[in-house]
Amino acid sequence: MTTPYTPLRPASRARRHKTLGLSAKQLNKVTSTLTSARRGLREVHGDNDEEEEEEEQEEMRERLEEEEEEEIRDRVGGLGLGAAAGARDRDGRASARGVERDAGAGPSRWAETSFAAEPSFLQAPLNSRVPPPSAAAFEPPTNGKGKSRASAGAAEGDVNLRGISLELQEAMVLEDLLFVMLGIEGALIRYSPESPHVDDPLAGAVFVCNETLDPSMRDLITRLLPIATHYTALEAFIAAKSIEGCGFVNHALCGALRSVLQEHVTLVTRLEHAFLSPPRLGEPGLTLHSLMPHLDPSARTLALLYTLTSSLLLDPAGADTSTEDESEVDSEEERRNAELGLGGISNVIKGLGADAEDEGEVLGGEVITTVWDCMRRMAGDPLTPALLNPLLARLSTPYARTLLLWAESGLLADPHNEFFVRSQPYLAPSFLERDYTDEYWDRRYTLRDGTPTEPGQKERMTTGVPLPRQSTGRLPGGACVPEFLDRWKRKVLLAGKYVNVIRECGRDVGSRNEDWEGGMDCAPFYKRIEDAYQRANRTLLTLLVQDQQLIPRLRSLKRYFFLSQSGFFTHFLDLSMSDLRKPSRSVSLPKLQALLEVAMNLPDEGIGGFREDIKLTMAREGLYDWLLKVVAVSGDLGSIGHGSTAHSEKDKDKDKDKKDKRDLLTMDALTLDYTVTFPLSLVISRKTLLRYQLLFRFLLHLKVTEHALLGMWTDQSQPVWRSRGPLSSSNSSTPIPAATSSRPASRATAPSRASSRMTSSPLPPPIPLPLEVSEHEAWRRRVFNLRARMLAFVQQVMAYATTEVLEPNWRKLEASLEKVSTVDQLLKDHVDFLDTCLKECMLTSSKLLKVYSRLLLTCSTFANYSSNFNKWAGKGEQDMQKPWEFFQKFEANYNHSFQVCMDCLQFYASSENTALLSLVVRLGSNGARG
Amino acid sequence: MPREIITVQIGQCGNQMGSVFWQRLCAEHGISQDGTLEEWATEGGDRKDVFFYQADDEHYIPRAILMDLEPRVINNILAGPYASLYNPENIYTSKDGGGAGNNWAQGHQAGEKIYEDIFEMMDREAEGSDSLEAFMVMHSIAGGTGSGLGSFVLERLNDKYPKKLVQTYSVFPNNEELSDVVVQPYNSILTLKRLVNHADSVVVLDNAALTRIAGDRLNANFPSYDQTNQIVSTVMSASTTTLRYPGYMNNDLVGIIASLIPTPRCHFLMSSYTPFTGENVDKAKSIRKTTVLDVMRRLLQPKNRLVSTVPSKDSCYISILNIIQGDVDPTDVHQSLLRIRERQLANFIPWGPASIQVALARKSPYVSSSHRVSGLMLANHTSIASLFRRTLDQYDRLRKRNAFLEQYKKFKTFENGLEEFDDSRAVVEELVQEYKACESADYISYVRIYPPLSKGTSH
Repeated sequence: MTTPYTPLRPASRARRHKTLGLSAKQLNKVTSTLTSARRGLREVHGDNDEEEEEEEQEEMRERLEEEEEEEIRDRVGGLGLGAAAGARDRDGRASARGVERDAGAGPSRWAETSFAAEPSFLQAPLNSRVPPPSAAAFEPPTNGKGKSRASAGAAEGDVNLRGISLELQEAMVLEDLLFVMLGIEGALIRYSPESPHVDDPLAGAVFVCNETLDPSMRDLITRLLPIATHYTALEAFIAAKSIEGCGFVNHALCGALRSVLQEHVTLVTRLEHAFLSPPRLGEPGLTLHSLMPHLDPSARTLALLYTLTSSLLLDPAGADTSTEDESEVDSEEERRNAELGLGGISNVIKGLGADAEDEGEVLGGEVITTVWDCMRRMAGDPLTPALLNPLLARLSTPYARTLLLWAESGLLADPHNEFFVRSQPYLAPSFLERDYTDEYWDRRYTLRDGTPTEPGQKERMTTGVPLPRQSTGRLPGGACVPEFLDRWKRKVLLAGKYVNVIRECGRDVGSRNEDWEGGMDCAPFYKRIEDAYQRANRTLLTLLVQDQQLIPRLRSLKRYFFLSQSGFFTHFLDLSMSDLRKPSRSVSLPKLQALLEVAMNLPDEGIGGFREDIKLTMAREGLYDWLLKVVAVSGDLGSIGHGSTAHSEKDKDKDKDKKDKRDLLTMDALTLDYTVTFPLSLVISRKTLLRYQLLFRFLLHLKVTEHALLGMWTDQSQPVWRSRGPLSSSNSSTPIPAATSSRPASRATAPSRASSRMTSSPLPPPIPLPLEVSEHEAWRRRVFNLRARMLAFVQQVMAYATTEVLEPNWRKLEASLEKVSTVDQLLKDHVDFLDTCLKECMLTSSKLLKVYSRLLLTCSTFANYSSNFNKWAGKGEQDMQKPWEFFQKFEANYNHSFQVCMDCLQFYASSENTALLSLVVRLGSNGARG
Repeated sequence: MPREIITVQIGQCGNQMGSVFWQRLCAEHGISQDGTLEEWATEGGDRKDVFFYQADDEHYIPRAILMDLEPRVINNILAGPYASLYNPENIYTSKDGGGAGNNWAQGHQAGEKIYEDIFEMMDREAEGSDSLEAFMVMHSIAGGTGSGLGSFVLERLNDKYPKKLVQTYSVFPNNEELSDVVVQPYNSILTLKRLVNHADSVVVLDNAALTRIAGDRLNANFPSYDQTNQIVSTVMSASTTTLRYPGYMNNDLVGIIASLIPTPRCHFLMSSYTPFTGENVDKAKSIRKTTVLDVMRRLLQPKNRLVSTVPSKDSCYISILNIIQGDVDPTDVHQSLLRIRERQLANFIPWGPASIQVALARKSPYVSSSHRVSGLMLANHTSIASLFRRTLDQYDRLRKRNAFLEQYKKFKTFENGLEEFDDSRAVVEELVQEYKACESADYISYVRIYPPLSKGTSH
């Protein structure tokens, strides 16, 4: 009595969204309405509250005594209106009766203004067509309340059938049963006191049969009662799910369910008709027994649907948890930040822990997945596919249309987040200017389940991806991709994305036509996806290759980043060498840029070539330091884009002091950048550009070192190095006299010397000078030789990198670009090409990087001391101790580094990087023999 | 323009070589006889500015200086189809036209007299270039002008432009047979001294070998000068392709030379080229098959060298650079190098970096060729010393008899004695010794052990 009864209000929903719950004012209003309704009742039944039940029972008894037919017609009329109102193909007779009876006292009693303020009415007016509450229903037995149960017991106790003939009992209970089959409480079959439907209408009402009924009949009836439970549950489900916000798929499901229920209602109406009409001659009337086979198919259908719907319902306990109603603006802001990767720690925590968004309704892809699963789980039952296949087809239709609209026209019409493609409206194209352009397209449209879209990308995206439901393990809502679509999801995403790219480029993408009826798991549907995918790919490919000149663009990248026609770069080095040796901080970038432009604008460099897009920039870290870090973190360069940024963020502070101490030289920091415009940035993305830059810096180092060594060569072809100088007979200062013996003699001693060198103690005897060579000359020869070896090393590495790595791989790429048919393949080929180049250029292994960079550093340091050597060379035959010491440091260092590097190369060449074999061969003769 | 090269053609031989060389460059760059760019030659991706510059009227003008002490050869050039190609200001011919009389001393002394004239041209050309890289001198060392004037130019270039490379293409006389110039050995020795001291790199072209190759390859018993010059110009243009058609590497002369010449005095290079076909040289035999391996193997064969040397059993390569032109798969190069190493087709010095460097160069798109691949080898080989040894022997034979010395004594250098001869001989002798020394592992094995560094490398 204290709780006002509100018919079939979706209880769980009301609990979750408190805003939808009744405010005090509304409660008052409802209560007053109820009171007024009761007052109306009282006029009929009397005016005492306590007497109400008795009156009710009296009325019942009266009714029993009354002519059966009329009474039943009355009820069925109301019922027909209530249950079947939503369905179009209403049984004519029932409808006629309903209309006829509409004006009657029963329905009008509750159909007045009484529940106008009930929110569920406003949300889904059709669902408010609840069965007319019988008088008894006004005081339903609320679960777990002693008083109610007692009253229910009292009410039940009063209908005592003992002593009544079995025929009469059967007729009475049959009549009741026909009501109950439609979810209406009867006189003999009442709501069970434990029935959960008051608190949770979705669970369905549980009925119990009058204890006094004949046991055999009771037994039969008990078997039929689940039908009623399922029926009420399904009705409640339809009511709950056809409101706004449940999505198209749920609505389609409700529609499908309604027509199934309609069939059930029709069946019951027919049975009622049979029950009410006088039995024909020679035929028995409707009995409980003859009822059974009629209801049996319906029972199985409803049971199956009930299983299905209950698996679509959320576990109330889980659903109840998150009810915070944050202000819209804040949550939007947060989401946006998270999507942009801007959010601070809070977002990270959110991403790791529970996603701030609640799991939400079961809708969209998840519904389809559930139905699909259910169908497969019960595939053994022939009824299941027969029932569920058309059901699936119906509820797939809106989903399929969304999908096709997206894949074919690039339009995302998904207001309820049912579809597995998500767009980020916050990422407006204005971000294109400053944000990394390819990331924009990476993030603008994503898969809800976080599957990465790039072929090479391994890690899943985590931002904005919901957690799987605990109960089912499925991702909630649209993030759940139906299993049969799983292998298509990337194609669907990309198709739509490409169409959008094409549209963004101002191209016509054709008119929209997303017509589709029926299920999705069939060849024609897949063909449409495939066609859409191919068409989008083809169009975009044409756009990229023909309109945007992709191939010339890539060629220009090759030209400038790989220095494939390096004439201009030699000139640039000539111009800027002095600047390159300075610390990067003290060098003006615009000046270098100007020099580069001078070099690039030589008349013979040809016109075009997109050189205006080439910019110089300074990297913050040296190439090898940085690569070492990246390699150390991610193990390979596959995730170079993510790993490095994340890492550099993390270690920024730690490295700061270090950087301050050791300022980077310009030549270590210098790198090229390339301005890429949309839509080419899809192919030449930041991530690929980064790889180009790595290769460029690798080559730059070699070039600069070569340049320095060549400068040293030029110095050493000057007269001071060239002149023969006095013969060594005068070098009296040396402790060991020069060999003055004749040539044959010195030859003869050579082998023994060699062997003594091999085996002797750490202090081998000084070797006599060969052939009247002055000590100074001997020193010069050693300097020449070391320089020659370094130069050979640098040139061989460069020759290897260019002619055996970059050029062949480039040719392969160009060949594959000729026949590439999808953008995907193009992207993949491009990234593969770069990764292969990086790997074969030794840039992916930390061990190799270390030894190689050390060796190169030795070479460039040696070249930097060229002037010191010149000085000593000029001094001639004086004290040679310092020059020897100085030189031998370099020689020892180089010999050691070279040996380590060769060992390392040999190891990698024989294990994981066979391309290095040819480098080993090239360098093999550089041996530390000198 | 960056990395320009100024060519200097001296004497009869130098000018004849040069004239064929420029014809060839014009063909490769699509430049017509009067220096205008052919209409079809705009998309070559080539760099003409290494050897040419553009006049105000867009004509391409070679960075070439032509000088001779007699007017005959240059007049022939100026009467030929390419007359208008050259800058007339860059041509010097002696007014008296007497030549150098096959006398080194006469040529050298003439140089002193015309110093102002010829270095006015040099300076003008040098100033006209952005970053001059090298002078390329073409001459012979046997006659009077090429050797004498050439020596003078080399000395002065080295003084005036100490940081610029000086590369010479020097034609050595055919000293296997008697020549009409009996004083050849004198001239050669005197010029060789300058080549040793003042040139950075000398590409030795041996008339004997040129004749032999012309005979073998071209089926000509008495090859014309034109044919041998075509051989030479082919080699010259091939050795500069990486400069004119820049690729990943070797786009400057110093990069090529530095790797070939580890020690500054041993800078005498020999060259081989294959295949010579009708496109380079008139009436050449056709070559059937050119693969990278074939080409690289043929390049290593002594008979294809443009120098006749007598290798000893210790002779070896100091360095090798192969410039391979044409449609080449880089993996073929790798395979070929492996094969050459397996079969030990090339012996290297025991003490230095020893590997065949390969530069892949583009071909001129305007010159068609029937063969797929062609190759040039520039090599530093110790057997070149045998050439100098032979010259020394011939010199010694003449000198012993004091033959023909009178005509040298007439000139300033030898007025006060013949020390210049002795000094030159010593320089050449040292060079021969140095090449010999290079063949031994001891070449750089000397090490002074100082206590603090005793644990350093043994050598």
